Amino acid sequence: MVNTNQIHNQQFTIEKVMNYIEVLPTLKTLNHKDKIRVIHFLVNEVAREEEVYFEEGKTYEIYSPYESFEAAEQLRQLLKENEGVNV
Amino acid sequence: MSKSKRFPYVLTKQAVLSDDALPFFPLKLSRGTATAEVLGLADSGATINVLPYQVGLELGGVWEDQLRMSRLGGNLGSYESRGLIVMAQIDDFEPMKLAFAWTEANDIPVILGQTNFFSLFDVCFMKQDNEFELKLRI
Repeated sequence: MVNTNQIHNQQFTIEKVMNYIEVLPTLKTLNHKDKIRVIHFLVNEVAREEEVYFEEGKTYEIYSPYESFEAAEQLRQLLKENEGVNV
Repeated sequence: MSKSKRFPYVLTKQAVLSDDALPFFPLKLSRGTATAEVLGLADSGATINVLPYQVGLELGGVWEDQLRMSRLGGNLGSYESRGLIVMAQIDDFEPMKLAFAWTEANDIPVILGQTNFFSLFDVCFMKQDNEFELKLRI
């Protein structure tokens, strides 16, 4: 079993001396949970490298009203009631 | 009258990089003699159109007179909203009726979502070109 610290330490080594092909066999030995941790780690690393300003654990506001299906039906009904009515 | 029109992505004040530009476009809203010129966000992830409180007031909306809406999703869930029908003029497309959830929130843009903006327009996003196209469906 490989814990997260080991993965991080290996990542340092990967950056220095290993390439993608060499690291694959090691990644394959990880259990499911640790593979997820590696994915999260890499996503954060790539985001940092590309200066994407989303940080792990921070809350970002999303004002898009997702899945407001009842409200959508209300608006469709309202439009129907206002057909032919000047606004 | 146009059938289709391309618009550039717009960098908002909060944007950090040019990649942060968003598909905003100018539109003129009206109710009777009241008008408001705004930037609307073409938001394919939004179920509905949303109008900020202040814009609704500029359009002569009377909060108490409008239909109370079901609770909205996302961050707007903590605000009450009312239904409001508005005429919209976008570029030289023919004027059309848009139905909005008029929210108590103010710190949001005018959002054009699936009901009913995306029922009226096909929208093609071309992020690589920093452009999007509105194509009238009717």
